[in-house]
Amino acid sequence: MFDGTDSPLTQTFGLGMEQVVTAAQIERLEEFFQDLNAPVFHECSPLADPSAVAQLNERSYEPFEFTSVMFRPIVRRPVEANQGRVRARLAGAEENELWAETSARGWNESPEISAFMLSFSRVSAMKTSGHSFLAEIDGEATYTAHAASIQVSKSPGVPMLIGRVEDVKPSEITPESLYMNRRAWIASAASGVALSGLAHGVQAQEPAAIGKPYGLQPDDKPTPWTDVTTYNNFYEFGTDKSDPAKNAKNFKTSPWTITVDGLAGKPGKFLLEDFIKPSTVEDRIYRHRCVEAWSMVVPWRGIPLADVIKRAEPMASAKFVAFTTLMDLRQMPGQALGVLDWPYTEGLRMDEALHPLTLLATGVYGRPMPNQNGAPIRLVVPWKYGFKGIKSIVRLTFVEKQPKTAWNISAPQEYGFYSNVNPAVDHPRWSQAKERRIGDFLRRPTLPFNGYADQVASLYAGMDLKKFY
Amino acid sequence: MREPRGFGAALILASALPAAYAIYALASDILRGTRLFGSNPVKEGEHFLGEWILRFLVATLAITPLRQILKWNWLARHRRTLGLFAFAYGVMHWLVYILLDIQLDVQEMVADVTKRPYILVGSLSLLLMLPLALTSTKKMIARLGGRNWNRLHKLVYVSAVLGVIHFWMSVKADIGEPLFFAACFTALFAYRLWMWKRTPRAR
Repeated sequence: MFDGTDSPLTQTFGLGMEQVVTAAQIERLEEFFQDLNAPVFHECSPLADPSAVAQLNERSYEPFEFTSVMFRPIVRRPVEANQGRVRARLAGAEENELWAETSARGWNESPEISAFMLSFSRVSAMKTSGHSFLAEIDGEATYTAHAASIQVSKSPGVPMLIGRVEDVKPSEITPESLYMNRRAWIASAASGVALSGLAHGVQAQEPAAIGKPYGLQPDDKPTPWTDVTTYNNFYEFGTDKSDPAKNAKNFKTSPWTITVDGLAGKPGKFLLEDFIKPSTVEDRIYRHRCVEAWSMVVPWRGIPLADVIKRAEPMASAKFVAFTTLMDLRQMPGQALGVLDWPYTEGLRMDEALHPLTLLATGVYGRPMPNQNGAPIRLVVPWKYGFKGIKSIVRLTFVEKQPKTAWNISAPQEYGFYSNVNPAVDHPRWSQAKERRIGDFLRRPTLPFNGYADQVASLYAGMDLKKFY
Repeated sequence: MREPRGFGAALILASALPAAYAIYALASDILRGTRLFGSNPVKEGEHFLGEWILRFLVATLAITPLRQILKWNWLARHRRTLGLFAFAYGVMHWLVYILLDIQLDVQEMVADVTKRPYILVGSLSLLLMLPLALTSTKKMIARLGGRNWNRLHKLVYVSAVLGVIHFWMSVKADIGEPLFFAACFTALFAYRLWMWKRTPRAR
């Protein structure tokens, strides 16, 4: 698979899963990647034919990544482990079909590959090089694993355990018991155990940026996923940039309800899915400028806010839209601190809200919105400073008067209602003339309206932007 | 307790460690694209060094109370080490600001110092440490005379207060960390005030 030279998805999959691997086949694969100027990576399952690893060793490949490596000393070799309603045991040869079906069921969320996964699992089940395990919940097979040994490079054999959990409802089993059980199996396998591959290896660390570029400058490149998802201002989860990624891990975003109220002909309370459904979800790459003088380029996924507004049928008296973030002290530890006036609030003038660039984003990099970026739904207004992009929205209210906004309440002389990106108007404590693009060393000039002046400057015709900062 | 052997050398080594790490992390992040200091290494490195100035100032000012309470008189001769490190971290913080952060943009430098009080306050805090660093040698103490030297070195209190104010003004909304340093200095000042009141003085 080729997904661009830098993409971690650019690699081979399933080497040796269906046939014996020959030198000529590997050469063909190498040529394919080299022609595209891409590095040659192979993902190799311990269930592959031994010739795969032998060939790779012969050609001096080095292992560079194990997926989810877990270590545990061998204490014993249990063939059974029981924990409450869960029972784990070795699968007998007569249970190959059950093992294969259970394993394949774990891929239910991708029906397009279910047939493939079933045949694939049947092959795995028949391997005699290792041991197949089954776990049952209340007697029903739910989890499969296969322990085998793989020899990479000159290392001693690394035993591997490959497993796949079927989607289990939290109500059916507590995660702890599943986890404990998993550990019980690992104990049975060997001293160094890699729990690998199939279940986890498929989702890439650095996904490719997708979407239509809007207002990008010639040297604008999408900011890597790692930066987009680890360098966040989301004070509900802590004031350090790295806090949200750590503290928002267990943030519950489903079910999610959004209230539309105020001066609207069709107010209502909507489940997020119903709120999004009538609109076409689009991928758009925007420039993002933080008020702290750093910037990114982010591939957002979302729907135009205008869609939602039109459906709500605002009254003629509605001049502004006010937004509110979820208030939940239990889940958002930052709300216990008096840093801002919680819940976070934001607002847009109606013409700003209706502008085609204004997005209600539900994802980045083609993936669902990570919690730390404002899941499940947030505002993106690319010509304004980042803090206008209110996160984890639960309420849209149509109002007549300019609404109060969180940062403006906190420091009115520093953060205005408009907060349009403007290199000519300094923040009282720093210049806004330049910005540091995350990943760059040298700073770059900041553009009026963050590079979207052609599209939005007319909204502010005749206004003194120094006064309405 | 008597002074453990090699304490002085160990203290210098330990004090230099954060600086060594900062230099390594900044170089690696900028040149090799690692993320030791996260996604915005220049800002993070700048803040990292800045906080170490305040930590060393707290440590410097904690020497006298610790010495008196624990009766470890040998601590006194290490106060200079800590004070000089506070100054050294100050210089590095400033260098990162000038070279890596605003990248020698003279216009911005002038605007920062004249229009932005927190930069002015921080600059003052560092400038006040300069005469203290310059007069830290035995020779200079002898030349100034103990009384004058002591009087001059009272400036460290002003520098510490300005340092905390600078930090306080620079944060956006979360004043937790500046508050922590303010509390440290308040405690250290309170101790001195209390001792001063207790000491009988000749009229």
